[in-house]
Amino acid sequence: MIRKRAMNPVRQEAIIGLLEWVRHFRPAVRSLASLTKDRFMSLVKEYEAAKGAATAKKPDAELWLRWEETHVWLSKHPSDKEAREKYPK
Amino acid sequence: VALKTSLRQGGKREISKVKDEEQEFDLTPVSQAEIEAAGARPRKGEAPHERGEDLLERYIKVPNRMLILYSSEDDVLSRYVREHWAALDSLSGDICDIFLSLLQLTGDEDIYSFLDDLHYIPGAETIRIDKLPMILLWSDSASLSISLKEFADDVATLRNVLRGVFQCLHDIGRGITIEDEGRFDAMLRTVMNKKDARASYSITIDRRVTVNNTTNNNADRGSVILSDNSKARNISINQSSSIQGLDLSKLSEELARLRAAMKVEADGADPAHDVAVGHVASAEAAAKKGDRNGALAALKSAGSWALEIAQKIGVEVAVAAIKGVTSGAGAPPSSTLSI
Repeated sequence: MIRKRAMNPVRQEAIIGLLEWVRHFRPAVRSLASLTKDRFMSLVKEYEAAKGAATAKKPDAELWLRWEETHVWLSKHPSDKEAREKYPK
Repeated sequence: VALKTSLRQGGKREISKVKDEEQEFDLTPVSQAEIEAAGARPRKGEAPHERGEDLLERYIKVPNRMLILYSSEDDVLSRYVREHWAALDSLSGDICDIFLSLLQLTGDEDIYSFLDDLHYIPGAETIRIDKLPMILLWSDSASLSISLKEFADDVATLRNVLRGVFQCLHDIGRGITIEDEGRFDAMLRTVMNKKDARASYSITIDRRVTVNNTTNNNADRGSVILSDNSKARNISINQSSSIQGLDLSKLSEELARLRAAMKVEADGADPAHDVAVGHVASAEAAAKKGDRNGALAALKSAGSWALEIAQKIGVEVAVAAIKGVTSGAGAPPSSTLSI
């Protein structure tokens, strides 16, 4: 039976642009979760530079912190129980 | 001490200070609870983190991808997505993924705030603010944009269009191509009970250069823009003619990106890099003014490092221009521009 799962929520839409860029310009990369944080951030910096990001040379720019969070999201998968505890309804 | 941003319930971004790296990255991933906290109603046990798939692996595997582009002003559509999340989830298995951000769900991010992030998405050049809300669908070879503007407040038609699009995708059973244009056009005309031909039509010969063939500017209703990215894969062009037909506006835009990328990559100890950045800046300024010869003359001095960076970041018009002016004097060369 094919599981229905069209909805693919992401934390920020920026990740879609990154996915398309990696798929198109770095086809050898097949998985993001398996990347080390350094490799992931290196890809992200290439991607942001390709977009012409002005903050690309500032190591402490919030842009990079947001991408670092994204790497955590990609590489760690806490249980739903943990999420519920952190985000009670 | 590093700054850390995190999402709290309701999607509000909070900045706090943390002391060590462990804490800095202690963030909750997208889970069912978080989707629910954002106001959507997912089916139990179908949260992304429970699927065990890497996002990029899935992106590569699923042949079609979709964005539903709307702003906080599109109240009906925004509510529809949140309330009917589970039904939307049921529209497809592995034929098309709909990407939505949690920030979009909570109203902290919308089409206006992430337009810049869509830069590399095929078909993004067809997004028009006055056509919102829109559906943007793309595969490896084509992209399809559908304006939902005419029925943005009509839940039944919104539902029928989404169902119709996914029925087409199921029938096709692969990534969309330019040949599927008629199928989508017919579906939309049926769903919208529209007898006339579509409002506008465009063909993309480069994923970011669109040649419009607008047939009726007055008919917004259900406009379909189908772009063929597959044609961009291997375009054989004569370089001299490509330079003659240079889109200066596009060139200037790409040179701005190239200049920014060069500044990032520049070796501070190598003055040649600063000089090259200067030449690209001159070319950019000339292109902006519509001075074709001035732009090309400056690019001729930009050097191989500029070309290397241009190729690295994928600015095809700039690459073609630099190659054109640096590939030898006199004889107009010909080459293949692979995009």
